[in-house]
Amino acid sequence: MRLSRQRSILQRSRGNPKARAEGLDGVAIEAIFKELEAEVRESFRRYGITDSTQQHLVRSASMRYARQVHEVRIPVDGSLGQPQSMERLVAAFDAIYEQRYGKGTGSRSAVIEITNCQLQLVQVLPKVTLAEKDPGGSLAASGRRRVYQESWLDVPVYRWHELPFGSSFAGPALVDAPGTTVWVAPEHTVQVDGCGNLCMELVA
Amino acid sequence: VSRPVDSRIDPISFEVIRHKLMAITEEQRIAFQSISGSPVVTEASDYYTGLFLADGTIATMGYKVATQGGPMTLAIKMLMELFPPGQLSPGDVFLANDPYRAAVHQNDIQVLQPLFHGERLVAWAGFGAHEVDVGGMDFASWCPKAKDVYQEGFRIAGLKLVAAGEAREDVWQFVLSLSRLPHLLDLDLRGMVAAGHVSQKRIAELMGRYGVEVVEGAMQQMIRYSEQKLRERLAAMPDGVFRAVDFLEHDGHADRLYRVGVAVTKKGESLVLDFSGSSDQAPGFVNSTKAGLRGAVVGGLFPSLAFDIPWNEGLLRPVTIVSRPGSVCDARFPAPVGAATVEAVWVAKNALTAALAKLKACTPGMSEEVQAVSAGTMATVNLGGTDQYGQRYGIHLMDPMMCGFGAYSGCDGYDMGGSYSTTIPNVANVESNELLSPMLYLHRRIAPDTGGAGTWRGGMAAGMAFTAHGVAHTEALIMTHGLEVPNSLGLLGGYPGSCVSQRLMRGSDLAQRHRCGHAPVEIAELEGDLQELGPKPGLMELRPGDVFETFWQGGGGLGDPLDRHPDEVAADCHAGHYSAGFAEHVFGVAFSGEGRVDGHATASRRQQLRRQRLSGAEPPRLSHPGKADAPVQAIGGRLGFARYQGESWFACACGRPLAPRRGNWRDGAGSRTVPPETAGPHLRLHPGLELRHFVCPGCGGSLSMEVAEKGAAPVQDIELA
Repeated sequence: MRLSRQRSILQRSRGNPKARAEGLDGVAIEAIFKELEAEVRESFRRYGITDSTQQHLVRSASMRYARQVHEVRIPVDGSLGQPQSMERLVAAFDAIYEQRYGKGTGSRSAVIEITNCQLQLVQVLPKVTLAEKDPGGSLAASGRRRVYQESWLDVPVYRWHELPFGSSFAGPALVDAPGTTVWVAPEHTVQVDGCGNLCMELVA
Repeated sequence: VSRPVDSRIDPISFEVIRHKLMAITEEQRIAFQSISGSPVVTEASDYYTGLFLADGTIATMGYKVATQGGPMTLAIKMLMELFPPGQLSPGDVFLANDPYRAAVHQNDIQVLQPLFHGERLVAWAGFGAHEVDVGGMDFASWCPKAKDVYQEGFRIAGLKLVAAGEAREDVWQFVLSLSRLPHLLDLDLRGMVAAGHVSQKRIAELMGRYGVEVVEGAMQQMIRYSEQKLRERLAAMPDGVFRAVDFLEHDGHADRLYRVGVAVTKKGESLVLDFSGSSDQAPGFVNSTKAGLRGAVVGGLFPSLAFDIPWNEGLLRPVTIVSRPGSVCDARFPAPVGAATVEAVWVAKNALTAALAKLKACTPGMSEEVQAVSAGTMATVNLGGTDQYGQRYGIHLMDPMMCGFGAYSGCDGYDMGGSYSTTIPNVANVESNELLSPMLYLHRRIAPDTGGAGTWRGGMAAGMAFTAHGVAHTEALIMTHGLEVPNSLGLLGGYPGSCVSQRLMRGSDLAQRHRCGHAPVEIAELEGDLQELGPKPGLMELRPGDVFETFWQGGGGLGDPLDRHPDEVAADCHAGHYSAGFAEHVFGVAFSGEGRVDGHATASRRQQLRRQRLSGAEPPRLSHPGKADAPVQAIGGRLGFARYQGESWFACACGRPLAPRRGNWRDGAGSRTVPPETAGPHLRLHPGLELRHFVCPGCGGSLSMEVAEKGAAPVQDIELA
């Protein structure tokens, strides 16, 4: 499970091509992330989750050039309160921005804005085990039915919930289920997988 | 209908490729809008995207300003003269904006990229955006006082911005240094570079999947298909000459009047559009170049005749454009042309749509597409300076695009339908504009009594009032045409839509009222120094409390307003679109005390108005005895073709014969000059103009209401071969 918190802020760089992060305050953003983290940990506690060994914290900042209407979300690794951390954030913005929009689309002189801080706490839960039960036994048709496909065909009919996991058969055939009927055309083969799904393939 | 067939492409692949090419054109827009920081692009829609063949032929057009697409073909051809195909590389990106070569005006910056499959040039991507400032003597590059093009925004024939994927920083910085708003220009250029990346990637994918020959063949086939559909449409239309005139006032230096006239000669499956009857070029910035006129033709012709045909170069192949060098729509270098888009180009588009509407009206089975002139003007309001956040800003407000659409035969025009040549227009929310720029709106709303009267009324225009906000002062550049010219002409007896109104109240008591807890919405509630502005007040300073209030042109009406059902008029009044005074004076509808239609009073009021039309009218030049049979083909409004003395004649719905089919129906009509109030309270006329009303001498029905130069001979709008 995961819980997210975000906060809208507005920080602007000075648009100095030689010091792109000038005007951006990493210490202030770091403080916001700390607050968001405290909030989300408190929520986890209220859900009764105390096992912090299986948790990951994911942080990101929404960034854009001034007056743009779309932001690019930049992952934040490590504390932003350290020296040079905002320069690294701006470099990550440059890289992700050009990755998204193509080479030459980033501007070095434009004012950079940070508009949003997002934080997500992810709890890894134990792996789910599926409850489907293999009906087992051998593959057997429950009857036959006439089907019109260019001409009349007499085809076997299977009950879906009686198909053994791992079994397979070729069309033409019908598979009956309470909610639907599956037509297996002459050029199809069916493989019943480990969850009881029908995996149909065209025969070459 | 047979389709031009390329045997190598099956019809399903053709449709898949055609739709994919349109999807790429939309994806270009999305990439551009994602990066731009200019409200003209992010919020509103003064831009263009499209794909072209390797030789510059238009293959697809996006859904924004079609006018910009016309000259872009010329820009690509010109670039290939500067950079022959052997010198073009994948990843090259070019910039151009020269109206004397290939643009509508300098603000429309074009970014063009050759697209390759391997080493082979296979197509071009072309984008354009209105940049708020491209230099010149005045902020926003609309320079009313400019005497030549050198005093206006910069002009670039063709410049390589990006060479084989590497941005040329020296060139880039040079271009940015020419604008007062380098940051907006920077992001727009980068947005168009991104749109180019998308184009290259998608075209390469498409060609990788289907093969170069198949995709190129499909593009050619799209163009041939559109050409063939238009030729078939033209072949089904009657041969003849169809004429219209429109005017613009004030060239930036003086309030002079300029005429744009067009004669559309339709013969077989071809069209000649002759604009040579237009006025001599102006000393100010209202002129269009030949390239701009091509934009006007695309913007007027495509929506008029190709409303159901894909838009591309094929639609221009049956068309010949004729213009007179030295005229206002084909100005000689170095005449100023900075306002071409909203002046000569706009008015040429109006005249062309008016003439084509007559051609459609005379074609059987096309009545649903017959439409009066839409959105006859595009007023310009630019703001700039330092914003409420202390940063340099500029905005070209697209709000004035909220003009009314012309009425159709059988349907009212759309309220605030927007520009005729922008398929999917957008205007920013009031809140977005207030957030991004130091302005505070008092209102933006439908302006009553603006839609042209008719059996079918024109769409209503909107209006707005705002003041500077959050700053000590800001710059405003305000100009329009159509303040003294009703450009949104009515059709077939319908009346024109309103003129533009521009007022400024200096030093109002708005702040005081806000402090008292009131929120005034219009100038009428305020006290201050009120000035009626002319069409081109130009650059001015706005301070908080200075309120600029304006509304725009409603669409033209269609058919005699006295034939509109009184209940429809009552419904319009109930919705607040028309005042009771307008209903009574223009529509002849009288109400009882409770706002219900008074049938008797309405009938007698309408009779009185018809008598009034006839009383002062000049009698027809030629009068014909007797009555025509019931009409055999409607033209629109009261006009139709009917049998008279065994021949086909123009006749009024009342049976009055007007002229033989090949004659001039005006010869059989009465005419009088009427004061502008006849058509509504918001009509004004330039001193050089008059309003003429052609009426049926039999019944007093309205056949045509036209704006003409004083004393000028009437224009024969329909001359059938």
